[in-house]
Amino acid sequence: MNRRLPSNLNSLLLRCSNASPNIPSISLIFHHQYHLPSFKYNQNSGFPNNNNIISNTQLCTIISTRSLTYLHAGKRINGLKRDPSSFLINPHNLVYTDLNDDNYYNKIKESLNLEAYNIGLTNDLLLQIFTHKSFAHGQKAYNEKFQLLGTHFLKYYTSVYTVTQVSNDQDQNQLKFNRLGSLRSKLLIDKTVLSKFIELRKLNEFIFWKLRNPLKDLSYNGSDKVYSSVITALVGGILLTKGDKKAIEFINGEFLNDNSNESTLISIVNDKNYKK
Amino acid sequence: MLRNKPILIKVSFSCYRNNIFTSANITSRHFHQTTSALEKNIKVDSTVLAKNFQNADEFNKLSVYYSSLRKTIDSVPEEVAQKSPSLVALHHRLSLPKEFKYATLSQCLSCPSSKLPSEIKNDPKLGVSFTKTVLAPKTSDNHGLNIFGKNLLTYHITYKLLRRYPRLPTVILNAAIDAYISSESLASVGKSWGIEVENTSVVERYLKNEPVEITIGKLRYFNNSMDNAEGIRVLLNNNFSETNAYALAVRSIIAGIWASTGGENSKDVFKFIDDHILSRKLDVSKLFQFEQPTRELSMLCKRENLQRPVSKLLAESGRNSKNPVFIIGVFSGDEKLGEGFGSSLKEGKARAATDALLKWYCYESLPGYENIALDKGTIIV
Amino acid sequence: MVVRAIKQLSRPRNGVGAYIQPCYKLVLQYCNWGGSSQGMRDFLTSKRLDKLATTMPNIQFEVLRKSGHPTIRAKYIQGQAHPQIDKVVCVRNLNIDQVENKMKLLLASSGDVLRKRVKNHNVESLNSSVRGVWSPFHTGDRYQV
Repeated sequence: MNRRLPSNLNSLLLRCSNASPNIPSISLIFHHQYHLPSFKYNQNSGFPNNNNIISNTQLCTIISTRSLTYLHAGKRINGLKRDPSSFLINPHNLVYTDLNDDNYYNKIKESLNLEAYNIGLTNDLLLQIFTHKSFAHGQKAYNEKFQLLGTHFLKYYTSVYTVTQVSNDQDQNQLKFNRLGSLRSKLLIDKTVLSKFIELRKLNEFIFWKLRNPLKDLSYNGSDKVYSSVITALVGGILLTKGDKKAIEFINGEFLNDNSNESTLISIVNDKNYKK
Repeated sequence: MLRNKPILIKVSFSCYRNNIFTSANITSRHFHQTTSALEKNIKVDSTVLAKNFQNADEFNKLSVYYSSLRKTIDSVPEEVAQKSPSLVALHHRLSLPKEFKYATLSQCLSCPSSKLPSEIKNDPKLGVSFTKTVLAPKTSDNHGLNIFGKNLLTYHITYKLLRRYPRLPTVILNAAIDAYISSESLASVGKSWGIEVENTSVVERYLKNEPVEITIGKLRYFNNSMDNAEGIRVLLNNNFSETNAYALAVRSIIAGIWASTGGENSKDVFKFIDDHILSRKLDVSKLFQFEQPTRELSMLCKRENLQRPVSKLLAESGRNSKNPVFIIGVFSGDEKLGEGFGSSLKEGKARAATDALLKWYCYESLPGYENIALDKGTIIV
Repeated sequence: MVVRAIKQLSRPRNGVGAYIQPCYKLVLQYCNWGGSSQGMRDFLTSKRLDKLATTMPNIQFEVLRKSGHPTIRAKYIQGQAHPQIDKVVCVRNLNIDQVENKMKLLLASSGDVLRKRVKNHNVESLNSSVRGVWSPFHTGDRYQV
């Protein structure tokens, strides 16, 4: 039986139990896994025998409703429920639970010019698109499947773009299928290019993900992959909710636009300084 | 013409076949009558042929045949492709749009793996004398078409599956996509389209005096005569296998439909994919394998703010006998999530949890009423 | 990862989306000399083959001259329940009409191997039963021992 409670917790429990005569309605219960202590104010049930609780963990009662929960912040202790604000936080210290239009959603919409294409994504959807699977152990909605669809759509659409691009040297009516598979057409959807796009549009601070090792730099933690997943998930999200016409319009305007003032995928690929 | 009695012309090599090919477009007008004689009904043996080619004159004739074959395959003229019975039949069988050229169809059947030297050499050791394929340059093989077709297919199938089963876990979704468009599946599609593989060597075709229209209507890939010699099996890399060649052809034909219907409008090609590939049978619930169903179910209930799942015994029979049966239901509050049977309580419990999870994950939206309320993601335990 | 995928292949259901006639090729073999091929030769030299090929542009016809009795070889696509097979019918000493009938028989065939159907082989389906399987545990009144 190694269901030992941490020592600091023992003292905590003792303090609570000593205080019990003053607050007769407090009851001390354990989570059914024996590890998580929590406190419940209960008018009806009295306080069980103090000594038994500390000495004998078998006494656990399972009560499914709790109105007061001890949430642990700081250093991780095995078995303690953590305070959400201590882990629902992204590498740029943005807290998942207090996001609003001004500090988050509108900034993203502005950076991606979503209003210009009349693409009104809901806040929930936008947040899901910007949340990676690694965040909060998958308990919050994440973007994996949007990413899957978006990747395939982007692949398809960039190949349409590559095939239908008009060049001067060849005859204009023919589709150029032999261009596919070339380095340039592959680069358009390369994860390094996509993540560069995120960085240039300054969207990386809005992404919720978890670093594998916070002591090392971002690229070690696979930032390229996470960032590129957001871009593809965005495409997938627009495609699923607004249809392919809007998605194509958005891709043409923001990703495959030669003449935009802002950085696009084309401008990143064309940039000679860009090194893989 | 057939009505006249065919003339027998003696050629110096034995040949076991004498073929006349016909199809709708070419019947009565283009009957190809072959000229080689029927002498013995034996299979052409490559070593015998090799000896025969010690005659330089005959070899030159073969070289001419080979180079003419090559020239046609380099850029298949539409007039030649129109006369190919298998291309015409395939075109009709798939009800391809009129704009889909026969030459493009022939290009779809030419795999990049059919690469061979530009000139044929009289060296039986190389196996090249008995090649089945003729080199196609990069512009006339199906390399680019295949890539495009693959992108088109993957996107469309993913989109349709995601709309239909919004809650499938990603691994299962990928497996389902694979079940439709993996090389094996596409090869089966290709075979059901009646595409034939070029299995005769160039020498045999030369001896039969087979017109080039026949060659361009068959699937050409790397399969020279070396690989099916008695007792010898050439281990081919995945890219050179027949399965892969069929898959390449199917993807290319799909890309060809996209190209022939104007490019911008993808409706027709998506309909084609729906009819030929998505219409195949797949039971998604058979793709799942759960490791810890009970644990996963409780995580699911926690995430979806449902009450903790509780397993209850619903019915039992023969508890103390050799073969007991237990029926167990898993409940969240008053809601029954799933039910399972088992010969032990544990087994029944696991089956009930699996049943509940399958009911969650395999939720299927009605066509036309797809629920866009999206899934939060797979449960991570 | 807790859910794992079991690799599966989708199975063909010809006719659910697109329909492709199972027979895709006919090889008509005749002998230029033997008397048993007379009917086949008549068929080939008449206009019937042209007519048939025009009405069925999706079928490839191949005429093969080879000594021996005349045959009709039909090639079928891989179907739902059977592999890709050939069916061969010998048409020796048959007259022109009989040859044509044999040809139509092969063209209309599903390509499935002929077999005897016994009792309860009424339904062949890839789908699971709509009605479900009866279970003694789910009936209203259970027999108490």
